[in-house]
Amino acid sequence: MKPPAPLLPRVLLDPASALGLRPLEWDLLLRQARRGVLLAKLAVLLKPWLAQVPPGPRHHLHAALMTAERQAKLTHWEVSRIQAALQPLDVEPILLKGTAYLMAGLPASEGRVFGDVDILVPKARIADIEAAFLAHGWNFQDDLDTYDERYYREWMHEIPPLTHEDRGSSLDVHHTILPPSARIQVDTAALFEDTRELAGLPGVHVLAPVTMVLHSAAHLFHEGELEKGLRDLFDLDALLRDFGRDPAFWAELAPRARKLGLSRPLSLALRYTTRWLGTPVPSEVLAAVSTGVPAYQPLLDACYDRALMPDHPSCDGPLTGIARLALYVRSHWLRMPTGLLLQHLARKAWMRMRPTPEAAAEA
Amino acid sequence: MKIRDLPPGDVRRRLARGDLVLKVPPFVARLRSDVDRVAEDLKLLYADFELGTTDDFADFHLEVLREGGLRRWVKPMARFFADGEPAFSPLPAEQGFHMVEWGLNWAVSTMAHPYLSYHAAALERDGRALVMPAPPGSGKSTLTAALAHRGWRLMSDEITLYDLATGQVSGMGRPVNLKNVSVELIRQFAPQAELTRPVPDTAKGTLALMKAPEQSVARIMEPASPAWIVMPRYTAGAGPALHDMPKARMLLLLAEQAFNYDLHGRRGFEATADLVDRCECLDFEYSTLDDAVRRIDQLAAEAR
Amino acid sequence: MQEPLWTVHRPGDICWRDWDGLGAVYDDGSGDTHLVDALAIEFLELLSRQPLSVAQLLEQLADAIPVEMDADTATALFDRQLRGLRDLGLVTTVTATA
Repeated sequence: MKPPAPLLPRVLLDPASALGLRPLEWDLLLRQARRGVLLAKLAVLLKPWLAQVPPGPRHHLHAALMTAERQAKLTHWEVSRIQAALQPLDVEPILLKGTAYLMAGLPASEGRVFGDVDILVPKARIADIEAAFLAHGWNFQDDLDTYDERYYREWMHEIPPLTHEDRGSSLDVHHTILPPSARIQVDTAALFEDTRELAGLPGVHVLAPVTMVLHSAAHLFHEGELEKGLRDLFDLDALLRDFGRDPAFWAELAPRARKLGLSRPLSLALRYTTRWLGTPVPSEVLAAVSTGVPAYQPLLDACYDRALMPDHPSCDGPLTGIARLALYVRSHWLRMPTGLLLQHLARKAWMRMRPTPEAAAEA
Repeated sequence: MKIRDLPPGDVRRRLARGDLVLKVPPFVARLRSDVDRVAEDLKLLYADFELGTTDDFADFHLEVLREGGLRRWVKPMARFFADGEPAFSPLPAEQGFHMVEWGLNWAVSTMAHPYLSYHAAALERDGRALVMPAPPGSGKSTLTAALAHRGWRLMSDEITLYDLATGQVSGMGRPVNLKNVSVELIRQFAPQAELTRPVPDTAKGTLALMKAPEQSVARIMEPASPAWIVMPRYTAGAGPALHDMPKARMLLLLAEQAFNYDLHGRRGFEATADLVDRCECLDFEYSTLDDAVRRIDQLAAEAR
Repeated sequence: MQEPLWTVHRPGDICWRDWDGLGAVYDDGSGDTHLVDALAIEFLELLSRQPLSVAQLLEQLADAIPVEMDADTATALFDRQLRGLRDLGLVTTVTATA
């Protein structure tokens, strides 16, 4: 498989340039975007010019927008169901990742594809919480074998992922933001101290801006690898641009990272968002988190290998216009509906948002 | 240029290079395969379909490629890829084109968003469309194949597209799926029907695909006004009987059989409600194809 | 004791169509579509206009209640229907204003 041309990042950074693309380039662009889980993002960025996009690609972009919009609506519902299940327990969950961006109305939620809901809850209440979810229609996977279950419970100290029996939605219940096996140990108690309660949804929280960014950075560079690549980098960029309008955010960022033990991921995150996406980060913040050249060189090498990059990115200063990016795209399907038979009164709305070719073959 | 206009060997060559760009309005599929059987079946089933050029934008890139290894010679297996991602377990290479069809179904069902797409067959007569939603095992495909050779224009067997703006339905003129006894039944019922060589012993039994008649494909861009929504139920020994089905129930049934109903949200609900509102909603029990076709023809002849 | 008033929950999300005694209700919030009977449709119609108590519903739908059904049975029937609709998230109770 030949390495992807840097078409996708080029267009994401300069959307108007897409208008000059030939049909075959559109073809490649959309396929790259889909695999990078960035089709909806691309569609949002191209919105001002959508009418000028040729009909073939335009349908795909429009479909991506429709899907993102629909998923957002269903995510709202999902969160309301989660709140209803936990309220009698007096447990106030903290929403994480994409769900948090959406429910908090953050720009980072635009063009995002929503799938699993991730929540953070106090470790001490895990047993009660698990029971509550099971009582409200969530189940564990049928085919979860004992090894998998032990892996989750004993090794990851988590309950296995839950799926709702009617809606088909997925729920991951965490009590830490990094697995205990991670090299970095996060002070979880500190996370609960400083959250933001959602207006209109009492008892449901999101992380404070600085913590949200640190969490995103921690996952982006967990184990020193670019796990989810460009998509997650765009998330981080969006968060930084939005929160960064407040100088107090920047003042708190490095000190908080130190307190939580997340200085290194933050340093890597800021390095890559500034270099690749031109995220405006004050130089004093960059200096404060800098950990020196040797730390990132192996990372860069690893990135390039996995990114199948034809060229090396420019190492001279910040990104200007179009530059070569190390692109690590992981294959992923944009989650979309399928014709599953549903129960009489309820529809597996989420299952419909995640079709597989296998399911279509069953029809 | 149509597939049938290509010089001998060209289909196979284009498929091998991944240069076969097939127009299946409203979509364009780019196909690649190194399996001879895929070329053979494609030539038969899509003979009347137009080709695009390799510079065209393609909505889907579908591939059926031989698996390597020792098995390659003993029992060749093939794997399906959609946009570079594998899907389905590898299957005997002779099922290659069935994989293409499943893959196309899936691709279309995930993409048909300007339309509401239903898992249903559709046939047209005198400008009016008969829509048959049906879960597997209802005999829908057999009935569709039969009607397609008795004066009804085949629009689709699997995926019917409903235009929210115009209220018209359309199809893609793609092959009809036949299984087990239906293969022979249709051969008897319509000797002129063009079928692929049946593939025995698949997980679903013996499979064959029936080409859409040339007239159907020629008129594929013509939508039709939906007039009847009929739920067929093959019941051994049953005389043909059409019964009214409550519209609300048909609405739910259609919603169940729709691919992108949820995506359209409220519009999907209202459009489906309008559809059942405008159409006669019927339940159809039958056992022989002759009876079934006669009864459906009668339905079409009755004044509305 | 104030009788609770029933109302359509999230009117912006919920819509319905009905034919001959059966109806379909769509809930845009959950993405669910429900098959319901004529009585449920009547409830939705009435409750979408203003919040009503069970007693008020009985009054308004008096013509729909079979002659031989006594008041208690009718009340119980209505109550059960409303709770069913509430379980589906389609209706909810609001506290009555004095």
